[in-house]
Amino acid sequence: MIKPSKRVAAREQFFSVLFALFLREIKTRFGERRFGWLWVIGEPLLHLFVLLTVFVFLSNHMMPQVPFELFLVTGLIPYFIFQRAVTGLMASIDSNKALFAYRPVKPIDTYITRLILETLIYLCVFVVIIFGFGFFMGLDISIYHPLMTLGIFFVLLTMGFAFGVIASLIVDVFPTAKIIIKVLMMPLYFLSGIMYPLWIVPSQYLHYLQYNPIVHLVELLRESYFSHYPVVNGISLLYPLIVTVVALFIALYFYRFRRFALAAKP
Amino acid sequence: MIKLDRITKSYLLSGGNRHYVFKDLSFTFPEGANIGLIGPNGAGKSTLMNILGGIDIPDSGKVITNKSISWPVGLSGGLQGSLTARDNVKFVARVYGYRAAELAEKVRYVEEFAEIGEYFDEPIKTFSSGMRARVTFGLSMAFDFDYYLVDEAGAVGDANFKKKSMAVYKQKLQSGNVILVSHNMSEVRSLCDHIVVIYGGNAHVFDSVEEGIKMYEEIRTVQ
Repeated sequence: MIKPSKRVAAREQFFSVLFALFLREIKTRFGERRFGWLWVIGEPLLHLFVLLTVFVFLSNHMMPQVPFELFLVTGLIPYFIFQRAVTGLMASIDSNKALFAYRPVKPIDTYITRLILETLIYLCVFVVIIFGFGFFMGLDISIYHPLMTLGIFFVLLTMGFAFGVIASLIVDVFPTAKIIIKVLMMPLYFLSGIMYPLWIVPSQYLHYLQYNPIVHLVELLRESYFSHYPVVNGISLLYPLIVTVVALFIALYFYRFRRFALAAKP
Repeated sequence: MIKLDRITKSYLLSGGNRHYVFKDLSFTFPEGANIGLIGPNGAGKSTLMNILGGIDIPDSGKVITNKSISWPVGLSGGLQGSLTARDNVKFVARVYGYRAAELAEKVRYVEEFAEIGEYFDEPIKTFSSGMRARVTFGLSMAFDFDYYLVDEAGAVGDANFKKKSMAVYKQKLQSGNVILVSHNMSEVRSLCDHIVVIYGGNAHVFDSVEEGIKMYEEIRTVQ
């Protein structure tokens, strides 16, 4: 038998660890309650359903360009993916600490597993809701520029990963920061242009809002989803891309320094 | 080869002072031998084991080795309470790269070793500590490592299980080695070829088991 080179072995090990962690995380979540498998998708689905119902009935936004329901979903899903990525990654060291006793398991494996899992859950929710709208309400749910949509999602995930890793590194040194980060995530909900179109924001405030890279991604996602979505001035892919690359660099740079400390006992 | 290179390890005490377990500790474990780590309580045996197992990191210095080292044998922290013993065993086997038939073989080994019958498919959190020990011990023994880290070899289980685990140790030691922390000298004598006495932040390596034990006894009488 030919002995595999070290490189191949390392890659195989990486994927077998990811696979093992993924199954473990899914099984753990499934097993928590009766019909656990239903809740993995059901809980976020219900959450979104309630939000949608409330927003649609309470708001009187008239949007001739796009159906308001779809407008909301295309904002809520990216927001939740980002938010769950950051909070999930932040908690992943704590909840997996005991596993680092098994040498092949590295902290970054648990980050990646969480990111994949949360993304898959919310993409499933997205698909279910969108098809629900198409089926029951007869809305046109076709995506105008699918490749662009996919690309935006990818940038969003990378950004969520980077900020999640940074959050996890901070929390590992200062455990109380967890609360602060969670509190900081809350206004993001209102500052990301999820529930309102950007063009109703007065121009003197719009400028500040655009410091939030998620605003750009949400707007671009909608532009790629709907055929005639009016994007306000100043929205660009370049800004969130730069933020993502810089954040990813910071995250991986400090991860490299802290990778053994993260895996060590408290 | 397992070589410790200028290992310094300290813990911050609640009073604000630092307690140094090791300062610039350097030594090499005897090659291809079974090693007994002995010393009084609080000397740093378990800290050293954790550093060897990668669970703890030194403040500075490194462990240099080309051997595979197990997780501390009998470790139960890595098990997920809400999952069954079978799922937990599968997880560890997958992590170490086993698939399909090999994976099934590891699971079968642990199942047969643990002898807990149908409980093998029940959540671990419902287990008694003895049952848990049977699973965790079997899990460690299912894999082939160059070195097994053992903290108190015969600490758990009933008489039957102790006998069984000693037999497995002896069998495993034909292909691998053990680093054993123990206060039980008859255990040390039966499993180890060399002794490392940990005392006062230093490691004293003895090629003869009896000489090592003699030093340990002397330390005890002084205290």
